[in-house]
Amino acid sequence: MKTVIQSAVFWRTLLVSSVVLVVALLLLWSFYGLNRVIESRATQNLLHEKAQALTEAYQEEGIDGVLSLYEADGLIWSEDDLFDLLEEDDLIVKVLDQQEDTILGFAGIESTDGFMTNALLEHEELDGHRVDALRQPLGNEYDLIVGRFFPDRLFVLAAQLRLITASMVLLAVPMALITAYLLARYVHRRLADMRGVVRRVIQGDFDSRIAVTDNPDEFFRLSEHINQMLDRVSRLRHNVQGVSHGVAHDIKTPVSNIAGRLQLIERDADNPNAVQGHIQEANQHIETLRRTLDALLRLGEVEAGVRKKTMKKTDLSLLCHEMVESFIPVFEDADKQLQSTIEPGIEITGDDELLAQMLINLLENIVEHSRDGGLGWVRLQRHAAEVVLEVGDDGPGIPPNLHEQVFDRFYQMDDSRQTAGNGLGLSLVRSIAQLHSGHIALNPDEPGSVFLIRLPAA
Amino acid sequence: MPQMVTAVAFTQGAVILCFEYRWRLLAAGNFHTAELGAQWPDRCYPFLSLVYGHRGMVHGGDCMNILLVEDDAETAAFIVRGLQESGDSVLHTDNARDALFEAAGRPFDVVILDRMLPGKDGLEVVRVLRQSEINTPILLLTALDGIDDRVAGLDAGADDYLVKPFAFAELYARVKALARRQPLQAVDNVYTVGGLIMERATQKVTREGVLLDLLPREYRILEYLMQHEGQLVTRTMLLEQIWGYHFDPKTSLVHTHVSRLRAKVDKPFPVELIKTVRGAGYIISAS
Repeated sequence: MKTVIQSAVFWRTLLVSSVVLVVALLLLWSFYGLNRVIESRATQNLLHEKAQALTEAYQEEGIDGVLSLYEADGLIWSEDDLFDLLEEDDLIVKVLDQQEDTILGFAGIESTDGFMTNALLEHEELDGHRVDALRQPLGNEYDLIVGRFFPDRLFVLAAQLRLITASMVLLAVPMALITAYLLARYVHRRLADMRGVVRRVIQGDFDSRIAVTDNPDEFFRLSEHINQMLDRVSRLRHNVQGVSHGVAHDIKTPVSNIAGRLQLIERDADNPNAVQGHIQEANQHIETLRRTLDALLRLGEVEAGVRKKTMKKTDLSLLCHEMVESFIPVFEDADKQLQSTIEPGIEITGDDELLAQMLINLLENIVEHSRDGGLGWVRLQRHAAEVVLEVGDDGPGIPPNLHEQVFDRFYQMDDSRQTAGNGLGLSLVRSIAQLHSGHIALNPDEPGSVFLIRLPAA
Repeated sequence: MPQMVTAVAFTQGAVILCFEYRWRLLAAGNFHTAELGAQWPDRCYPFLSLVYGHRGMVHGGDCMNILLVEDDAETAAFIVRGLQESGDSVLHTDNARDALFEAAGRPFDVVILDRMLPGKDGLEVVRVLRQSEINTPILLLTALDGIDDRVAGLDAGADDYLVKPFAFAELYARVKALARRQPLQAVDNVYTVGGLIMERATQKVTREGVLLDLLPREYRILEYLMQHEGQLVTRTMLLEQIWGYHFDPKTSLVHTHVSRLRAKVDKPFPVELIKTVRGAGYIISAS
């Protein structure tokens, strides 16, 4: 209850409800105001017309002319007469002489000069009933007051509006509170599920996932995204576990080898030739260790995505060309061949140095693993908005069930880890491709191991 | 070290470096002691170089004068010993404050500067020196080998960047290259080593009068070797200079290309000019 009421949704919903209420009331009352204005205009016109008619009668025949108009009904209207008289012509008339005595019409109406709403009406039954009135002089000796009752229609309308307003306020406030509460509770419940999962993840349960409903609303989408994020985090965590084993192996092995060599140096201290040999071996192991650390650091750097900020337009064709040119002698020295088909002028947005490293790692992989006397090749093409880079050989290829694993860190096809190389080269290749929004896979349709990299063109 | 007068240097608005070195200031003569107390950053940089009045390095024969700034005692001892055995003189300090004063106070051929000094980024030292127009070549030593780290180092004004761990030969080759860099900038356009002649204007290379047909990359490798005649050029130096790579390929990329070059430059002739230093690199020399 408390958390629901503290929620932002609750207060926002209340705010919206009150705005709606205020707007509705404003509309109602402005409708009334408009009617009131129109009616008041009409009354004024009627009163002026009547006053005009009486003034004309006075000008033609004096006060007698005016009086003659009303002779039939009696000059002085009693309170009882008023209702009958008003049926013919709903205007009240009063003519006063200089002593303020009524000589014609209904004595109970009083008004100041000019037009006024809410004039005074003295009547037993109608006391307090609103009257619009016009007072003006009739010749030099008399004053004329003409009045009209405030129309019943408006009177009723006003009464109805007051009732509606009161009931709306009385009804709307609790309804708004209830709606706000229900809405807030709903959001709270949907979020509570996510919160629970997040809390469990914080506590270390990385397998916990948010239950996803069928209703594809915004909560659904958020839940899906959180679940995807957790999937990724789990994968990374899994990777880290794998990596720590790999690191333990690939770092401990050279370190223990170095330690062993140091012991041998100690033992063979009086045999300079042997010592020299041990030193060289130890240096080899240090080199291995350094390479592993470099590759790990580089991998970390690439995966952190820091380099993405400084990417710029790069001529991939030129890069491939230079790389192939650099590697042709390396292949020749290994009694292998390197060929290339490079479409010129292909540009991508990328990091020169990382792309170079990606190509080098792929080419080195081929030099190392292709068959004796084999042929390696590089092909760079552009397909619409995509750049396709293929680096392959004509060897026996990699079994399809290992196509994913070769990119894993510290993965080596022979389990012995006897060969040089630390099993990080292809992981780095994949990370670099992914950093460039690309995708890398082994092409299953070609014989030999063919790495197929798709990158978005610049 | 006598530390008496205090000057204050602000580096990039944050780091305050305090120096006490009165006797040098007095020796310089034109400095008002009162000003030393005024803590204005712009007082500081001119102060460092004005007082000591030099703008860079001084050359004195083959023996180099090196300032080493390294807080790790073992690494420092290793470098100091190596440099002394090579016949160079080396001054070692283990903190940024002394490093600034030494570098500003007397000419060195090269400053070897550890990137991570106690409580301070070595880059600050580089910046202060460069802002004070002290242009002694600086070699940054670092355990950080990210591309961004290297770019930051070079942007701050360092001349070269070497990642730990390194072989002493590598360090020495780079220090030598830095110490020799400036005079070579104004050098004539023909390099000669023994009978090998490189005309840079026409990119023509001849040996004993025979024209050598070199590929562009081979030409660049040879050019770099000849620029550093008699000095060790390491594999990573060539990788950085010729290929522009700051990582170490597994394959013997450099060795393969140098071998091709040697096949053209040395094989047809009786005297071998390009020599391999096992496990370190290559030297070109006539002897």
